[in-house]
Amino acid sequence: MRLNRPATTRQASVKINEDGFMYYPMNPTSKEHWAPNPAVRNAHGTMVPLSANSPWSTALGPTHFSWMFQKESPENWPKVTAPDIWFCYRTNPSISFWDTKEVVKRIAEFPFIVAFAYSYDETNHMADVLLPECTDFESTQLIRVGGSKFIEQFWDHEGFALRQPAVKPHGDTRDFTEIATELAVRAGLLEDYNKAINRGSACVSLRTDNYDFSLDTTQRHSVDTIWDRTCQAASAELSNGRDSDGLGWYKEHGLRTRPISRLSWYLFPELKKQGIRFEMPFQERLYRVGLELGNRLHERGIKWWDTQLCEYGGLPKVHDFPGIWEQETIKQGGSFKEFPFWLITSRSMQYAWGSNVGVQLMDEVAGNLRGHKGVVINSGKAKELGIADGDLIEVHSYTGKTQGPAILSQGIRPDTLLMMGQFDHWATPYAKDLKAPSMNSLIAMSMALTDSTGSGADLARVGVKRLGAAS
Amino acid sequence: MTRYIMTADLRRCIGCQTCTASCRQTNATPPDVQWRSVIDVESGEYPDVRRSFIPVGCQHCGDPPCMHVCPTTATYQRDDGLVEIDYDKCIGCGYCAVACPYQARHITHRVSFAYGDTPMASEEARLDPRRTSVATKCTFCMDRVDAAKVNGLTPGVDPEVTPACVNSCIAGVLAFGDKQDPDSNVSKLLAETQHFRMHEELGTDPGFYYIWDKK
Repeated sequence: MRLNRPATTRQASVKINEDGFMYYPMNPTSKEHWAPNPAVRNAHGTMVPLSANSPWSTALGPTHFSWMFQKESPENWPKVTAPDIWFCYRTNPSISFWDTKEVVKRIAEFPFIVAFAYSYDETNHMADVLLPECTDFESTQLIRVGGSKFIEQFWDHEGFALRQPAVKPHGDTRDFTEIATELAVRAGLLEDYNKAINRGSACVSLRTDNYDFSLDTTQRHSVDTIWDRTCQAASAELSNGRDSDGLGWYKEHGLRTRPISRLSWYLFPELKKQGIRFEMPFQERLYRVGLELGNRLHERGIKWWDTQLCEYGGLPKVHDFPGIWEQETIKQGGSFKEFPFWLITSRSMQYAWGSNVGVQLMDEVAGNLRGHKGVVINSGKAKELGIADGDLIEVHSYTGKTQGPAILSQGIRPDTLLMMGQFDHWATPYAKDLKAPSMNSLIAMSMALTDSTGSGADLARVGVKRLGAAS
Repeated sequence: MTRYIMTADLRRCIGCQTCTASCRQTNATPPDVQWRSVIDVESGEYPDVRRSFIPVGCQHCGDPPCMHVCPTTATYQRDDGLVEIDYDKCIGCGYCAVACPYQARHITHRVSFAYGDTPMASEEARLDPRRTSVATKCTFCMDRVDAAKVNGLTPGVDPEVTPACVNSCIAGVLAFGDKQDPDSNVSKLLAETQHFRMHEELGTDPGFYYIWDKK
């Protein structure tokens, strides 16, 4: 994943660095420019040079620092405070994080929470203000599709697609754009809000050298006007200013694209065009950045990131990754005899990281696939333990326990369990009644299990106990 | 004579269940009634194990056992190969469900909704009381196929007259068309691949072909 700006085109992010290699916007580690006091709670700009400075960067730093450090700041680290106001938009960290019980406790300390919501859930349960939002089937948005943006590089076209209401909104829900505009008006931010839309925060810049569909920044605009201007700008962008088809055109046609060259799938042609030296010595820069970061932290007496600093190497070294989890298990008082299995997870298309679990249809079709409703265990190993298919089993780690039906499978290692569900639902309608086993109860939120990018893994050493026969 | 069939390229299926969801929505079937679904099959023993995803449903057999056992002639076969059910004649005896080797038939004796006793607006609007206590199954989206006769479009080629599961497939697994037309997409697919039909040995002449390799 490329984190450089602009996010919409990888090629435009390719620039030459002063050393002749490709520029990468490492967060600064020099004495002059390092930021010792993090501007955001996960401290990615301070601790993780590689996370860069794109809108995605905050999501890729050590997000669990926010929760861990709020409870207890590490040595020589600025105190992490709760946000004055916390806006929560289409995310549910109360069920989708490591050690969710701990996360819920920290959220409960927040003084004021504003949540956008189309359903009651475990996080907006704690909201002081709830803003009922339409679903995607009831609201409008223009979305970039295809192209060479940072994730999907294998399109033959680029352009824009319109999401438009298929049904009328239910209840007292509103289009997100309407809610955002109303908030801007009430908070006295209308002019800045309109300026942000003009700059392209909604999808595409409304004013460039080629065209101008910008909004009057002093006026409040309707949902349709905002998206009509956005559609016009999108048409102009794709036609180099020639066309200006608006919302009505997109409502009829759905999407507008233009072909792109397959050369734009790859960075190499752009590197060659700009005469940029090729990649390999890049690791030397990483080594230097790691040393610099270590110097900055040590100057402030911070030693608790030293293990992570070891990962900044000139050439990749062999790491004993399983050993990291094994050593931590022993350090926490566990043993391999007590926790003989590895517990892993796998992504589920149907559950979409937890957001679809409360949709009956998605839960139903997920049931067609092995593993969604329980704990997958090797058939031979299960037989050794006296566990039959469907038996209720308990899975426990040093952080907690969960339970669910055993799903016997030949296609898994005898020393490994697979748990597809990672969701501790207790409020979301429908999902809360599924009583699915949750891996989140078994995963620690821990500095020892954090790598130098601030990331970790859904992984734990666990034990298994049969609780009873299939019901 | 037309014989509409469906093909599933097992090399491409990833078990996403988009066809299942699409069918459920298009045909407004109640919870747990899946006219199209994809089964998840494990074969072999550790460590030599394979996992296969297999789309299943009514095979629209050339010699359908469900039709032969139907005491009221509710189940019938059309000239274009589609096996259909006349809900007016069906008495819900279930003989067809027992006779079908593909477990493709469903009978529900009470109305049910996704979230308890209160239907969603979409469920309420599309509730078809004729479907209670009768046999139901995949129709190959009969209404779409029939629309082709009126608008001159080609099933399997034009999305408007193609079964919803085929349209929705994100991996190009499913195809639909006329097997008797040598130029149809399904005829070409079958000509260039190795394939099998499920329980073919039972003599049902299924209209669902599973592609597993090139020739």
